[in-house]
Amino acid sequence: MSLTRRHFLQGAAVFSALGFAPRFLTQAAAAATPIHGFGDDRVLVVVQLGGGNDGLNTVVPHGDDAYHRARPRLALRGAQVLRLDDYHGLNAKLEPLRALHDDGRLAIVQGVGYPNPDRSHFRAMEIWQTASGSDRFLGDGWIGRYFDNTCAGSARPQAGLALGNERPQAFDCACGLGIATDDPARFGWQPGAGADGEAAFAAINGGAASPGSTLDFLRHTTRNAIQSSAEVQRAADRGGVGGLAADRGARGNQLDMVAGLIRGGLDTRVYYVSVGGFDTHAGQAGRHDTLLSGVGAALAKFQRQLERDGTAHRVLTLVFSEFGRRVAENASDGTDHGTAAPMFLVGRGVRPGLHGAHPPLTDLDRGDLKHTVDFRRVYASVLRGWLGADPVPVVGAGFDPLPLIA
Amino acid sequence: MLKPIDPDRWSPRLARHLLNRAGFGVPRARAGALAALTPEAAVDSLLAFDDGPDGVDDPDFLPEPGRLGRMVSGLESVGHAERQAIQADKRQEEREAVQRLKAWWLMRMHRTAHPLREKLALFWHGHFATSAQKVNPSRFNFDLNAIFRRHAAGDFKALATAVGQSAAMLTYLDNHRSTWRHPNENWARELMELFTLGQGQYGEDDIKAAARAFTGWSIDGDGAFIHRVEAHDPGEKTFLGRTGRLDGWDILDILFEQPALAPFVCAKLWRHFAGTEPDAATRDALAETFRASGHAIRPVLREMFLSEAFHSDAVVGTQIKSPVQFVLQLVDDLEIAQPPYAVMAQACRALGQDLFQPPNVKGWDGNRAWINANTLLQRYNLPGRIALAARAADHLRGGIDTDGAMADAAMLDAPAKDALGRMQRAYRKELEGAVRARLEELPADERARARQVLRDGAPGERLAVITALGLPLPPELRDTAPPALAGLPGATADAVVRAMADRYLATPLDADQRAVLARALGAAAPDAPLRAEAAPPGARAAAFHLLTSLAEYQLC
Repeated sequence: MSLTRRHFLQGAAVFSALGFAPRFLTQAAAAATPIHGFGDDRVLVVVQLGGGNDGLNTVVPHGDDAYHRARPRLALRGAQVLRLDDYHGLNAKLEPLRALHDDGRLAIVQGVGYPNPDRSHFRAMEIWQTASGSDRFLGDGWIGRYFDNTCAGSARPQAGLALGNERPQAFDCACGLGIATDDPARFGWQPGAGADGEAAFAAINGGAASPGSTLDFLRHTTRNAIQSSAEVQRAADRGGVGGLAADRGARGNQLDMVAGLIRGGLDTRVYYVSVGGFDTHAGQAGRHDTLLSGVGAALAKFQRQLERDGTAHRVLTLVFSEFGRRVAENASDGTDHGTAAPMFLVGRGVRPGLHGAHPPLTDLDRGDLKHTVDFRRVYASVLRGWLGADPVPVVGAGFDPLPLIA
Repeated sequence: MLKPIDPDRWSPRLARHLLNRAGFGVPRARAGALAALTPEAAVDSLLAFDDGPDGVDDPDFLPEPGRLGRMVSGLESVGHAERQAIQADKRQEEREAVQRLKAWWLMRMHRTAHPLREKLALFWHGHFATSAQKVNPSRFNFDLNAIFRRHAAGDFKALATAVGQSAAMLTYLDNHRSTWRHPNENWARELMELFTLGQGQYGEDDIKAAARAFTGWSIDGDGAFIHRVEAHDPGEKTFLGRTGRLDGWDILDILFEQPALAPFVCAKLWRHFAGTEPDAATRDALAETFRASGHAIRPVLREMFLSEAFHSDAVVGTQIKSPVQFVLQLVDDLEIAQPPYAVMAQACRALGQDLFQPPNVKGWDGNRAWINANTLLQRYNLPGRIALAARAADHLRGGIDTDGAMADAAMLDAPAKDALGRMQRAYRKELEGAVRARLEELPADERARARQVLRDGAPGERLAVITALGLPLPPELRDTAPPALAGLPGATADAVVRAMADRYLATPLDADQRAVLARALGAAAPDAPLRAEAAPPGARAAAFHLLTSLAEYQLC
């Protein structure tokens, strides 16, 4: 690893001195090599907004009197709204998303939820990550089931890669794919300084064991992990992710890392990133603005980077939160746990614009919106339209794809 | 009745196996004591516990549930915002208490005089799974934990009833809010599917009937069980072929008459303790014992632990350590006197076994489900981290005064982080002095590059430069070998390696693996004369690092 990086740094310095882009960048743009274990080179990036994002102040029904009545202090008006039409608008802090919208790179699905919604963060997130109904507990995640049902044996453990310390429940599967790391450049076994180097580590785990035995399984997984970590580190090197930059405190956001790993040619089908803090029970206005500014800027920057890298045609980004928030503001200038909310899809592959109907603000269930689109239909649309997979084994029957993908 | 083990086969290895499975394999010395007994006496010594003390006190740091909330909601003068702030503080206090509870339980598992009781409590926690993610009051979570300990090897029906009436289960599966008007089916469904019978032994109508029967099982403001008569559906129901004005107690009575219950529970016990899928004969023999005893757990365990099958090659040394077992054996192997239990609890979470927070109502699948590329790499990297955390804690107590570059500060709590910072600064100072002296000898461009890597490089890169230039090693890499390693018997490197495998692994190593470890110990060849105490500490640490990076180290 150290040699690779040193050579890369030297090489990159030479190239930039001569004014050429390093060769791998042009290669990444040209090649359409399928991701190991999958039929094509497409990538899905899932962005999780943890805590329950206030959908009504994200995609704003500014033309609805009921919205302004329910939120005398928190309703957005005038310059706080970027009008999409007479009824819908975007929170003005999402200006970068409006630009994506105008470029035909943004699809907004309105009123996404599910029947008998659960208002517990934990349970609601579990429902979204496992794609279950609220009355069912599923042991595996929706991305994990997609892996189990579609990918070939040649898929790499990093077929699913989550940035962070925890592997999301969405990855849980029988096939064991899916890794989590907050620093891809350092993902792997930590060698020692003496005779306990990488060669010795590979050697002591390199022998044959009785086929099918638990030891055989462990050694196989070990060898797979060694190969996988080398691949992740190499892609991080090539994409300039983490490592030296991270040490200098210039790590950048998770989506920068994802763009770098895609640029570096990693065999990853699904990336998973998450940002928290959306649980705005009190003093929502300033906090929610800050959160949305961050999300909007990061998504737009990510998309620009993909365009520059020549990888934008390969990438679809899906943004969700475990629930929206109560229609009426509370007495603490905040909002409480709610139900349906909008989802975003970003990328060249989307059918841009508004999809689904905005849930009516005058027909509520105990103060909460009634969903108009089941979230499993959105998953089904992505699975069928973007990943080319049969959605039924993943989300179940009865969740027809929507025309979200071009 | 399962065929019992031949007493002549009883050996230190099987005693160790028994301690691994009927406990957490710790403390190691106890295996020696078990080996000196007959198999019956050894098993009985592990089963000889009751509800009494085990040398570890219950937690004394749990906030009382309910009271504050009631106090606040009773005060008209308290505004909405203030009330919400108080409630948020309360939730935060409970979350912190649950974090402490995780560390406390690991400590109890580590130090208890009754390891089988804790192993059973962990089994029941996975069987009757509830999560503090949903059940906020830490007291509710601990109360259920205490129920698992109290009924650990006792009457299964008493256990199931106590669980069903616990605040944790009633709130986790929403039965506390189940009323005749809106019966909630969660508890009724899982009671049959996961807790007693298994899928296919009942129909959807039975779930609906049971849900109606359990309406009214609820809790009061302190979390104590109450039967809310006004919420109960007193009407006639038909459950598994029996019709009447059934209530929750009737449902439990009927479930315990079902022939499917005993084999379901016994198969799960076998899977947990033996780690394999039981054949039908094994399962049915245990089920017969279970039924004959009126659903007592202890006789089933005794028969299992004394069976020939439990001590067969298919079982011994073939189970993947659970994360909990892994960290407990690790700190025992490392001979850490005061283990960093909070760090260990975080490690368990990262490895997929977050105590008090199983992933869902199905609990943990165990064995191969613990392992994927991600968790396996974390397991291999964990010994260094745990050793480091322990050293940081030692440092706080004034035990050592340096430490180094392999830090993963994210794993540490705040005081440990501060201590680590001080250690790192001390090490950097030491390193800087050596660097100044040593780098003078290098050409200018190499010197600049080495400086840059030492400042900015990844740990592996830094270490590569440190070793290449002969600079001082980070202290934690100089000596992570447990003290006992220096005292292992053997006149050649290979003999020492064999002794290492015998002590730290459940299965032997082949010649190629032993050769790698012998080289790590500093021997030119496996048959070269080398006594463990003669190997330099750095070499012993390297050998131990490789040993804990073996697939075999995951097995017990």
